[in-house]
Amino acid sequence: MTPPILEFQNVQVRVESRILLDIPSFRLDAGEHLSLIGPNGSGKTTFLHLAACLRCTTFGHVAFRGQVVTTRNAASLRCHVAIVFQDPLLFSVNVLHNVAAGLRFQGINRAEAHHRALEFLTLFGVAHLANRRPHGLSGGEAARVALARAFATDPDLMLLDEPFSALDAETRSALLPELRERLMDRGAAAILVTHDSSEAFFFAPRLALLDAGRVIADGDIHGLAMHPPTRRIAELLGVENVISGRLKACVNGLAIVEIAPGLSLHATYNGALVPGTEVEITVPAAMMHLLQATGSPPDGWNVISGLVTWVARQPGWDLITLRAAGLTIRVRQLWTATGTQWQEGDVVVASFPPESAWIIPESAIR
Amino acid sequence: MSDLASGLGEAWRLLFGMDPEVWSIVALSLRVSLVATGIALLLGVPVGAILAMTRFPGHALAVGGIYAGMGLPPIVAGLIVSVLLFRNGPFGALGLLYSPAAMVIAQAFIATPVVAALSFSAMHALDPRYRLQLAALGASRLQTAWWLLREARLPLIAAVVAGFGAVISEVGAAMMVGGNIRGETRVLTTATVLEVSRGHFDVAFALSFVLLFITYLVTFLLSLLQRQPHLARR
Repeated sequence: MTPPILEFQNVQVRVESRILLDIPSFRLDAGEHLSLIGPNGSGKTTFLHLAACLRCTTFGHVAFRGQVVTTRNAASLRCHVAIVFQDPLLFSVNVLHNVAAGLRFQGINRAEAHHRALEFLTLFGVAHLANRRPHGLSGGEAARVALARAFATDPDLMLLDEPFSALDAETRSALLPELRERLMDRGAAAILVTHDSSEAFFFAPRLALLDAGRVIADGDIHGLAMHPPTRRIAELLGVENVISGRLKACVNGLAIVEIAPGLSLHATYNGALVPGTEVEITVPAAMMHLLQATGSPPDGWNVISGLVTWVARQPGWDLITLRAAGLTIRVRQLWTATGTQWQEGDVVVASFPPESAWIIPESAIR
Repeated sequence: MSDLASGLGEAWRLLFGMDPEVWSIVALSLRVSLVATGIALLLGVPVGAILAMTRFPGHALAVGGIYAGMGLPPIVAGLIVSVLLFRNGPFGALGLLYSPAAMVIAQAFIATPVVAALSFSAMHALDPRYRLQLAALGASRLQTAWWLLREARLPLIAAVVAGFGAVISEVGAAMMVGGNIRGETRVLTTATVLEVSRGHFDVAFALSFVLLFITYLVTFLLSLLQRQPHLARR
């Protein structure tokens, strides 16, 4: 069996009595991609530094391709890992020397290193900048050079620490698909640290959530977004609708939850629920459908009537906020060919199938 | 005021009148100061780099030591070097006292803490992620130090300028270990002191102007290096 490219076993990193990271187990297979998200101070940077063999654990061990990382072998293992930081951190030599730096450190002769560096600059479309100094580059150009430098050493594991967060939206949306394509071509495993859940969703099918030094969720991104196990996970994933209520009963595999006097919703769940307890229902805004007040949703769908209070325009879709039964409900609606359908003041019906609503039990709310 | 004006005229005459004695004093001043600065550079930059890149027991004391060394009175440096080089001192057998070599040693002793402290400060001020980036690219310790020094080269040039400024203008140590011997160890500062003691204020002013001009010229040339656009960091 091939060992994972990266494995954490009972890892703890402490600074004095403060625990920065506490991960009982984690693995990333060769060629696998992972998005890692978490709030500030959650330990993302410490996680990446461990993965890059740049710091040691207090307890437990990190293994790279089955080899436990120690202070003795860290330098040699690092040659198989590349890290790209939020700032390009280019050195004040020309672009070609920057990209060739890692190869030169590996002992490759100057001519060969420069030849390979130029290949990677070409791959990222910045070969024409080879003789330029970093101070004259735009943010997008500098990011491409930093990526070319990271790829030039042909790493087995690429660690990306919010590499595009300082770039404008246009450059970012151009670079992210390009980065994914290059990673696929090379077959390198990768971890992308990001604050942007849409970037995380785009980058990898697997997502890990880090909170207060612990991995609180790790799995299929779609499954986590549709069935968040806890309220905290739903919040970190940006699930727009979290509706509180009281569980009335569980019938035919669906939970019936009263969210307001006379208003109940049906939702799916996992495990045993106790009727009468407080629960929360998560519904992604994209799962909601809006109808005119007179419209009729499909049979068995949940229905909430309300008033549109705000339509926030986004490229290609709108985020519509409703006030309904004392609740705030958010709905994503794609634009139609004739433009936006809804405006503030409209009386509407929001509907969604029970399968897109998920119960968070009382024990997982806080 | 008349001394100042005549001093300017005298300075012009001494410098461009090709007075051989003045030119030998200027040459010795430059030689001693540049060699001392070079030694300070060779010793001070690695010390600054090691202090910036490592942590060890007593690190804070060592950093405090080099900062205190920046304020080392030249006369104290001269006294220490004199005691070491006296005929019956530990290095007396070398016969260096009252020679330009002794002046170089004393001045290097003065300039090294200045260069070391400013190098430490320059390296310390770099974004710590540059070091991480170098480590992630697989750089060895020596390669990391070399690349970081290159990143810090602008403030390092300032450290060299400060070291040169400290030694070219220094008089106490030069007098004590050099002895201000005419034609052998007389430099611009010690010659100026001598002319003042003789009451030749115009000559003293002239030598001071020459000293100022040389100091300005050398530091200006060094500062030109800092203004190279390709040295600027993003």
